[in-house]
Amino acid sequence: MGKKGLISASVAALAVLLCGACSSGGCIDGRSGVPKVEFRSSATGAAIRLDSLRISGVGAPGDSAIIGVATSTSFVNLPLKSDSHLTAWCISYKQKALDYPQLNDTLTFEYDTTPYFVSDDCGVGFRYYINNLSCTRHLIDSVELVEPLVTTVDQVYVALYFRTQE
Amino acid sequence: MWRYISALRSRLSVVLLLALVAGIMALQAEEPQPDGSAAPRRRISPVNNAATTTQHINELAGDTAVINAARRARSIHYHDDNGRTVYVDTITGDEWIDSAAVIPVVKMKYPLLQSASIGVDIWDPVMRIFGQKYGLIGFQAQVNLHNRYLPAFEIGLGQAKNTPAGMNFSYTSPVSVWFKIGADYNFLYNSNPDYMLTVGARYGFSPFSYSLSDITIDQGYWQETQHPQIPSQRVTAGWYEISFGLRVKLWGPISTGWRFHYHGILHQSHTRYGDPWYIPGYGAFGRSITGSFSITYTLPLNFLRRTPVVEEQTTTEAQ
Repeated sequence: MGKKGLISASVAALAVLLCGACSSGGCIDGRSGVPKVEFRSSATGAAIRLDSLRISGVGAPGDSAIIGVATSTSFVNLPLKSDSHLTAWCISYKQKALDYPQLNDTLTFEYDTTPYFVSDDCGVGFRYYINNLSCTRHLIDSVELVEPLVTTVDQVYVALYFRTQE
Repeated sequence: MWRYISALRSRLSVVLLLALVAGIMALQAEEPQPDGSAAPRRRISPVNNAATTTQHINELAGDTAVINAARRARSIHYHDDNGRTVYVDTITGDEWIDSAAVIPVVKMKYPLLQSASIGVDIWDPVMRIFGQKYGLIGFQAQVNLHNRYLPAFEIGLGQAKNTPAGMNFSYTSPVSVWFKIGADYNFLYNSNPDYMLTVGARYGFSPFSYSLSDITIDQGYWQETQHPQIPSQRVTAGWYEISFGLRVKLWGPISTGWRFHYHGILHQSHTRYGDPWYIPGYGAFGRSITGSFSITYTLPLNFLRRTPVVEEQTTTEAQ
């Protein structure tokens, strides 16, 4: 290999290096962890789709709902407050026969919050470690904590079992 | 009686005539058929003659292995100082070495201690001019063995300060030291040592710390904004590096070269606040390719040799 060949190879390699030094693109997973809550049938344990539900955070600004009545879904993502160790969610049933405030259920999370550096593309968010999970049992049969460490990974962290007709 | 003999002769003549006609017809049947197909032929066994019995000998007459086998058969042998088997032809008295029996060894053109070099890696300082937010400087010491093997030790300093535009944090890693140890292999080992084409491997290690500040996290649904801090975290990291590079002499003992590295983390300590973005000596986390650009001073080690190196003549040639 002659001197010219080596210099040419050097220039080509430097060009590759300069391109390789560029940043990879984009934040895909998100910044803070949000617990994904899946609805399941207490009879079968299988995931079920529910409609006519209204879920809102207790103490949320404007009592805004995270999901509205028109939505039909088998899961919901419930963000946790980062300035507190406790977040409660109110579940209202808007079907005709169930639309009574006394049948509303409340799901309560108790947790620890940690700031977490995700990546230079995503930045810093929060991770939560759920210490305790509780709920009222009007139409909810039980609640299961599937994974206590809430990260940006898209997975089921909590399972809510509803009483359903066979 | 005479009449009987005469009749017998005429019958024999008829029989011979018929045999002659049959023979001619048989010969005509040997000719190619009108449709072009070959007529069946009798198989003839090969005949051994003087030419065929010596044919294989003649064909192998130029075969070196056969020639050497014949020479070995009429030779005696001894072992010289280098352990080689030397044959002596008892007829001609010639000494010869069977090239087929010698395992060719690529000889080293350059001495064991060819040179030593020290270099400075200016890749990070240059890249910082162009906006890179990390890295400081690195130094390398290397010994050139036979112009082929180049054990290396590297030491350097790394530092990072990064506040990405549009992001919610400032990342800080104070000046920390890093180490690398490994070796390069020069493919052009029997060529001019002014030019090297190398492949190498390194193990790198760095103890360092990092912290994050100016953090702003908005929680959309709850309409709250938090400003947490991630205090200084002391961690260590170790990594491997596979490199490919070139080095070219610039002037006198000064040469320049680049290497690009493919690297990956072997071990690192994890904290509850996440993994570091920058590792001194390694670069930004998550990027598997990086590079270095070095200016190197080479010190010849000729003075360590007692006698000048004389190129040996090859001794593996077949006589």
